[in-house]
Amino acid sequence: MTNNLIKIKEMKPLLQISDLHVSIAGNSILNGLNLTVNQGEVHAIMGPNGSGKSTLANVIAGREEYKIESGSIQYKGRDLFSMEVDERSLEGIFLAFQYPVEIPGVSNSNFLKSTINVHRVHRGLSELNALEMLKYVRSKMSSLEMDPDLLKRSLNDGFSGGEKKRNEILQMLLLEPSLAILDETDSGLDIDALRIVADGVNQLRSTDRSFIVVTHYQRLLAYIVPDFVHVLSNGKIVATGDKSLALKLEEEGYDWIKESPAVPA
Amino acid sequence: MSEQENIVDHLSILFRNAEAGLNGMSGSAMHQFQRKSFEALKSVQFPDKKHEDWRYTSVQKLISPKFKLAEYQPTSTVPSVPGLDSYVIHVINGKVMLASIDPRLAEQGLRIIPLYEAFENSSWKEVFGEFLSSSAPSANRAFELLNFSFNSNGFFLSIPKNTKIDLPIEIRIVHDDPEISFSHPLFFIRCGIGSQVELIERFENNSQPKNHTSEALINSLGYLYLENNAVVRHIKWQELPSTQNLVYKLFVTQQRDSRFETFAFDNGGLLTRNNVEIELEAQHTYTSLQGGFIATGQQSMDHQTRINHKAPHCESHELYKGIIDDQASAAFNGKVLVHKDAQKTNAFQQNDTLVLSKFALMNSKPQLEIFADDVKCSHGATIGQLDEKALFYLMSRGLPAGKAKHMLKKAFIAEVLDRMPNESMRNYISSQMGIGE
Ligand SMILES: Nc1ncnc2c1ncn2[C@@H]1O[C@H](COP(=O)(O)OP(=O)(O)O)[C@@H](O)[C@H]1O
Ligand SMILES: [Mg+2]
Repeated sequence: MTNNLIKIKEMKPLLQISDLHVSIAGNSILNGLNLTVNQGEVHAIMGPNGSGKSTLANVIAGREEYKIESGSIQYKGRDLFSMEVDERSLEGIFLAFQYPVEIPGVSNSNFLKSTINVHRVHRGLSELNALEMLKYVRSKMSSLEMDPDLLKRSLNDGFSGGEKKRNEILQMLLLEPSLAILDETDSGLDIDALRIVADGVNQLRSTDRSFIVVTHYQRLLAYIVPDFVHVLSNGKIVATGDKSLALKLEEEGYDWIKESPAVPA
Repeated sequence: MSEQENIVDHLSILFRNAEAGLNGMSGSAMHQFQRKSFEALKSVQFPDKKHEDWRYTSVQKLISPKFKLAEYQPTSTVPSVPGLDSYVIHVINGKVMLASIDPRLAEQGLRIIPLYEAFENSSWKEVFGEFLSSSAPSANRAFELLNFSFNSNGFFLSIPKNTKIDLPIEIRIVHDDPEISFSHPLFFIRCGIGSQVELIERFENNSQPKNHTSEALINSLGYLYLENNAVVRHIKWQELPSTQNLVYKLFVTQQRDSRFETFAFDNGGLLTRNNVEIELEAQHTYTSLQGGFIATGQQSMDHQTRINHKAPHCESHELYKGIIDDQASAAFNGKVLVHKDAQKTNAFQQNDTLVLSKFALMNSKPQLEIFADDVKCSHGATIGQLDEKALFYLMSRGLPAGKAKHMLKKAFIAEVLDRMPNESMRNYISSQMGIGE
């Protein structure tokens, strides 16, 4: 009895995607996608190039370019589609972009300061002053082994691939989201950087925080151990399993999935 | 009677009235020059919209047959820029306020000479007298002729050889008259061999709004003559009240190895017409023209630049960036002329504009005329909107749309503003333009 109650509490859904159909420029990309992410869970989404992983990530974050044809997403019990992009962020959704945008002329430090403070104000906390901000940002940067000089630069402008990815993870650490979506954060990182990034994610893992880790390779999942692994193909989840599914994909590739759709793993 | 004739008739009356008030001065060299200028203005007339360089700014909107010469002498002045120590020269309604000139200038041997006196001054005559008598009148020069006809209170400054002025010279230009009126600020600065100066022109509101509720035109004219190795850094900042129009013209003549750099920012006024003309007379000069503007509401901002490469081995750079919103309009017409003998010229020009409303209008026309064969020249123009991807990125971090757009606008102008070395002016301008922190 007691055990059951605990179980029910653990299963509190954070994100529920039901029969989602999404198109862009008239091409349908997501074709009836279902996914439930409960609090505290880590879901890995794998799948071949062009299968719709980034589309899913961007639709959750609120990119308007994509057209929602049908289906629904509930987030914290609310209709996600009724929330503006900035509101989604304030309510705890964070997307680490596959291709972080370079914004020359916007200083990285001013940008971080502004975003941290809007989040703090939203949570009913006071804004951090310049000194407190610097201390806070510096401490997270050093945990990611980032060069503090990146603060003085324009946002992502001329950053190397690895610096951009770390800057995304830095923002995740600073904003402490409820749902973090990492879109191929591992691609382009060497093994040391990968471990640093994974440590960043792991330091944030908790029972009330969830992750969707989009990746191509299983190597990241050796460091960030997922509760579930999903395979996305042609805009649908065609297989779901535990971490061993990632290993199988690593060994056998995606071909077996294409041949036999909807394999219960 | 056409509108043009109407205006010229009206100006004739004003001119006669002004002459009547001259008393003993009527035979002076200055007065002869005014007469000659006004005769020339009558013969060339103002340019109309058929004139290539006046397609986007209507003279009729700039100058009204109701204008009188601004007279009112205010007691209030434009506030200082925080953190800026400078030698201030006040120009009110076209008149240089000799009594209030920073005494530290004289201590350095720098004397501000009123124009009527300059006309008898050999240093003035040698460069500017020569120049003026050699430039032929044309419709395109109508506003200069208008300025000469009605200005008698401009000033001349001669910076001696190898003098490096330690602080910027700041000219604060105010138009302050409760009636419909115009004023004609005018200055000549001769920068001696190897001299260095930073020159700031501020066109601003004073703190008495009741004095600028009426339509007004500031018809401002400035001449800089850079002798060999002279270095001039120039800043122009314009934040006039929304009732005032500005016709601005800066002539720069550069001699061998001189360097001229200007940053021009416009934010206020109703119609603004900026003209910058650079004459590169001798080898190895460097010229950089940079500008940024934000036009909103009914504002119109028209930029005309002209760089005349007459000598070899000269380098010029131009970058103008503007943001236009609402029903505002703007134009950029950048001419670069490379003469036959001006081999090894490097001339680069770029004009980028953000158009934020579907009612806003931008016209951009780079014009390169090259008669030499061994040159490097390029020009480009972009007209676009705020980057959707960047906007999404910022908002996905919780920043509201307004704040995110603000950051992107700031970033756009920052490409020019951040290069301006004068930190106090940089901070001041970014905060006045509403793109500060
Ligand atoms: N802006 C776009 N315009 C047109 N097609 C797009 C756009 N973005 C993505 N697509 C298409 O949608 C499909 C899924 O892309 P994406 O979600 O990026 O896949 P993944 O991240 O799994 O590689 C691809 O076929 C891609 O070409
Ligand atoms: Mg992708």
